[in-house]
Amino acid sequence: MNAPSLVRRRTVRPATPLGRRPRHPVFAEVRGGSARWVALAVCVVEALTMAAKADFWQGSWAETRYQLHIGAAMLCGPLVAAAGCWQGAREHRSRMTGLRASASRSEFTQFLVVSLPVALAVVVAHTVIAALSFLATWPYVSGGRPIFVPVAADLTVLVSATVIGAVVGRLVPWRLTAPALALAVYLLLGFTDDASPVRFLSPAADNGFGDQGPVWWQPLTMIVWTGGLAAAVVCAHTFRPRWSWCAVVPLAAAAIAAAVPMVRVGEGMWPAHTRTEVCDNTTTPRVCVDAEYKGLLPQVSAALSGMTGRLKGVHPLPDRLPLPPFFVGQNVVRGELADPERFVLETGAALVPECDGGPDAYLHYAVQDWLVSNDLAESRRKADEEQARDSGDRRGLAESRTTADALSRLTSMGEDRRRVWLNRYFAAGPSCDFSKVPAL
Amino acid sequence: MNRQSASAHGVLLYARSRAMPHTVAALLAVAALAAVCAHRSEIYLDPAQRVRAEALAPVFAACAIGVSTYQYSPALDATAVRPWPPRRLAHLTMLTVIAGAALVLVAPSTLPVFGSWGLLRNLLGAVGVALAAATVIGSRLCWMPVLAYLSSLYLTPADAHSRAHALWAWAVQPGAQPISWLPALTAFLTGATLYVVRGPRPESREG
Repeated sequence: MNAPSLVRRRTVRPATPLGRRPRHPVFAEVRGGSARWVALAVCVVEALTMAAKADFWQGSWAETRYQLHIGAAMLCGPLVAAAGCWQGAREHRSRMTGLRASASRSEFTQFLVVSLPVALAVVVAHTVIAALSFLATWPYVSGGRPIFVPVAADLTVLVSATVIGAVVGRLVPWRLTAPALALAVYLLLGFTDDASPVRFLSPAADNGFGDQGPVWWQPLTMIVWTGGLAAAVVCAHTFRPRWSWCAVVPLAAAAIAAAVPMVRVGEGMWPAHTRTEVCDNTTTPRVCVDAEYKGLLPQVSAALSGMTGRLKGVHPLPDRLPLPPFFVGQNVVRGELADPERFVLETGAALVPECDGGPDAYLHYAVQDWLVSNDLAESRRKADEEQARDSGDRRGLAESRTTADALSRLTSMGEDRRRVWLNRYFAAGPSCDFSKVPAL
Repeated sequence: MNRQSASAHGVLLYARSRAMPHTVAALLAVAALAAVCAHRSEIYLDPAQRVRAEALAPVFAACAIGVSTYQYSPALDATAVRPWPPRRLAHLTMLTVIAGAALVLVAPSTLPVFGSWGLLRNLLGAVGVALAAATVIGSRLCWMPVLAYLSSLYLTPADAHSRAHALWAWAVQPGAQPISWLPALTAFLTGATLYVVRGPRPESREG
C-alpha cells in the first residue's frame, strides 16, 4: 500500500544552487548602477589633468604626490560630491522614496547600499591614477622615496565628499542640487590666502611647494578630520530620530584629533626638509646637487665643464658653484636638464660679484659671458645690442659695445695673464671695489 | 483676443513645464554670488592663484540652463502640433541672454585673468557643452560633463605664449584673446544646433 507521505517534499529548487552563496548586493550595483560611470569620469578627468602637467611632476616623487593631491582635492572633490548627490537622489528621481521608507531594512543599511558603490568607484579610480602616476615617475627619478600616506588621506577626503554628497542628495530633492553642491565645495576648498589658521583644515591645504612633504601625522589627522565629519553626517541622517545623538562621537573625534593640532601647528605641518648634497669633487669649485636629483650630477658636471675648466687656477671663489635651484617642469624635465645652456648662463650670472651698475658693470657682463661662452650668451648679447639700437638708447648701446670689446680682449689675452687678472677680479668681488683691477 | 490669450497661456505653460522661474532665479542667484566673489578677492580655484572664484559662475549658469531643458513627459511633448525647434531656440536664447547680461553687469571688467569678456566666453562655451550633453546623455545629468570639462580646464598649467595652448585651454585665457573665442563659439554653436534640431534625449523616470 502506498499511502501519501505526510511529510511535504520540496519540489521547487532553491533560488540559488546549493553550495553557492548569493552574491552581495554591491555587485549588482557595480554592474548596473552609475558607479561605473563615476569611476570612468574620475579616471578620465584626473588622467587628462595629470597628463597635461606631466612635465611638472614626472621625475620627482614629491611633485607627483603634490599634483595628485591637488588633482584629488580641487578637481575630484567637487565632482565626487556631485556624483554622490546624484546617487543619493535616485529614489527621488524614480519616485520610490515611499517604497524605500516602507522597506524592512534599517535606514543605515539602505544608505550604505546606495552610497557605498559610488564611494568604492571613486576609491578604485583614484588609486588607479595614483598608481599609474607613481609608475610613470619611477623611470626618471634618481633619489628620494615615494610616500603613500597622503594618497590614503586624499582617498578618505574623496569618500567623505561622496558620502556627504549622498546625504545632501537625499535631503534636497532639486534638479540643480548636485551642481550647486559642487559649486559650494569649490568655494569651500578655494585656495585662500588670508592668514586665518582655519585654512589648514581644508583638504586641499598644502604649502604650495611640492618638494616639501607634510609631517607624518598630517595625513592621519586629515583622515580623522574628514572621515569623522562624514561619519557624523551619516550617523545624524540615518539613525534618525532616536539615535541621532550618536553623531556627537565621530564629530568629537574629528574636532579633537584633527582640528586642534592642525590649527595650532599650521605652517609647521610642512617643514623644510634637511637637504643632503651629492658633490663632484674633481673640479674646483665643486659642483653639488641636492641628493634627490643625484642622477643629474653627471649632466650638470658635463654642462658646467667648460666653466670649471676656465676657472682653473682662480682661487678667490666660493667652495662650490652657486647653481640655480632645480624646479621640476622648468629647468628639470623628466630627470634631464631642460636647457643646459640656460642653466650654465644662470650659474655664471650667480657667480660674478653682485654689484649694482656703476662704471664696472661692463666688466661683470664680460666676465660672465666669457665664463659661459655658449650660443645663448652670445645671442642674448646681440639681442640686447639690437634692442638698444632700435629704441635709441645710447647709453645701453655704448655699454653693450664696451662689454663686447672687453670680452674680445679677455678672450685674446694670454692664459697666464688672464688667470692673474681673474684672480684680482674675483678678489675684489666681495668689496665691489674694482679700482685696483687693471682695466680691460 | 481669444487667440492671443491662448498663445500667452501656451508660453506660460511652456515656461512652467520647463521650471523656468526656478532656472531664472538660479541664474540671478549665481550672478549675485559672482558679484560677492568679485568683491572678496582672496578665493582662487587653482594653486597658482590665477583663476578666481567668479569663474565658477558661468559653469553653474550653464548647468542650470542645461538642466532646464528637461522634458517632464517626452511622450506627451512628441504629440504636440506646433514645431519644437523655434521654441527650443527661444528657450536657450532667452536663458543665455539673461545669464550673460547678469554676469557682464555684475563682474568688474578689469580683473587680471577674467574680465567680463572672459566670463561671457566661458558661459557660451559651457552652455554649448551642456546642451550637447543634454542631447546625448539627457538633461538631468548634463551638468556632469560641464563640471568635469570646465573644472579640469581651470586646473591646467599657465602657458599663455603658445597658440595651441590658447586653443585647447580656452577657458583660462584672458578674455581679450580672440583665438580663445574660437573653441567656445564652436562649442556653443554645435551644442545649440544639436539641441534645437534634436531636442533633449527623452528620459524615463526610472533612473
